[in-house]
Amino acid sequence: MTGPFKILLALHTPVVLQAVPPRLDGLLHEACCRLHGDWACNHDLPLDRDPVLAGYRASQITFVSTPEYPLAASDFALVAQPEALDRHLVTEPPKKIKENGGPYSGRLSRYEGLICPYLAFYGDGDGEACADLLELLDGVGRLHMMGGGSFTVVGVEPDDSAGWRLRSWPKKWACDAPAKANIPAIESLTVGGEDEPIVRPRRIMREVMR
Amino acid sequence: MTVTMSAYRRFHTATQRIRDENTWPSTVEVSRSSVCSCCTRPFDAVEDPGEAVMYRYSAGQARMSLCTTCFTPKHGSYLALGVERRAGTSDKTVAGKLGMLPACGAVITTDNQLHLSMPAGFVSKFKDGSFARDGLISESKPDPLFWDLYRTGGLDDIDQGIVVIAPLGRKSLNLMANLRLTSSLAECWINSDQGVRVSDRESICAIADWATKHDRIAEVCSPRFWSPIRAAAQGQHDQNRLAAWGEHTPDPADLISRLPDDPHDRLALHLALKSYFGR
Repeated sequence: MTGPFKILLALHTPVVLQAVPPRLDGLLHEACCRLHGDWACNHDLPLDRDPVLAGYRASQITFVSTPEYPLAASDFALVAQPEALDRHLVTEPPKKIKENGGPYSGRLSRYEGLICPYLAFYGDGDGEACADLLELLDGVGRLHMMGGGSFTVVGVEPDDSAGWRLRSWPKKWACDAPAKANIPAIESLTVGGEDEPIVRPRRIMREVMR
Repeated sequence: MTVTMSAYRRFHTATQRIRDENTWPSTVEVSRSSVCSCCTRPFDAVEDPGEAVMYRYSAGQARMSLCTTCFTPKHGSYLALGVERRAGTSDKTVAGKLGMLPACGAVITTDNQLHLSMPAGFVSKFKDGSFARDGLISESKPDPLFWDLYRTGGLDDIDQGIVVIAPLGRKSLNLMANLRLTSSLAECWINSDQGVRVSDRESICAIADWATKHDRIAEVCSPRFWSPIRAAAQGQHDQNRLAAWGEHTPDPADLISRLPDDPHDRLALHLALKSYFGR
């Protein structure tokens, strides 16, 4: 099946976003690197290229909530350096650790997470192949190797709303970008590309699934 | 390649008076491919290329090579700020530095002016410095300073990039390592000595307009008004509670459309609106 598609992912643990929101082509690139065991080259992704973007037709992350479960803030703290813990904290761990103050608060790194039932990515290309590649990944966002943003692929469906356009666009072609893409920034348009002035939608895009 | 405005360039220009003083330490020439220990930018990309200030916290600590921008908050200045405190029993004094200003905020506008907000104690200490003489110090908190500048049109060209710092704090290297530019009110990067966070201030303006129009200014500054929204932002969604809230709120659909997307912003709405209205 080729053409515009939407991939739905079920989200299990909170996503911690960084400055630049995750994009489908970035995730697929990492999946391809794992598949081929080669992080040095630019792999070909099963997505169509767009001439204006000089990059792939792949959208930013969208947080999908349901009427019962809205997008929620889910903050957590992790031990910053497990190897620096005192021995007794490992052999006889305390049942509860006060995070706001006390002796351990300085050893904790705090993260602001977002949790909702589903995530969605839009694209234009071979949706089934993209979904298969995404299954190789463990998570999205920060701490993805430590359980952050873990997801499972739910399904792929055709999309007639050109949702792949919800991503960064070169500033000089801002007239081609959708109206929602109105945040100026300096980021790269392709994976591993040079930073340049772009416009993009807000970091947190929301959708409701009935 | 055009030189894009960066947060570091703004900070550097806004604090030039601190580096112009004759107390500024001598810099060493370093290889342009080596990087600043704080911001990790290569020395050919910093504002004073190839110049580094050698710094270490104390005798037992490692030496760091800092670019002039990252070292600026560590340099005490009697002329720009003033005397921060006396040290020891003799006449020795310590000069105020931008990197030791807890509870103080800063906004660097597009004309590279460093506007500072300080509590009363600091304002009286630094009243004879050049920042105070140029009218750049106001006795307020960091967020009200931002909103005052916004209301007087000082942030109209925000798309050219401003730097928001709240608070300046005590850990200047943490502050300078992660300095980020803000180019849109909808995505305001608030730098601090504890890291950077992002906030949607455009939605605060929209909600403030709604509150002014419907005469609910005092209510929106209280967390009780927002309780079903806050509960939903924490994952406890109650449709009945939300419907009841909609009953006694004028034009609830309009208000909900003005809410920020980030649930973290929704949890702090009452505080942001309090700063906006100066309460």
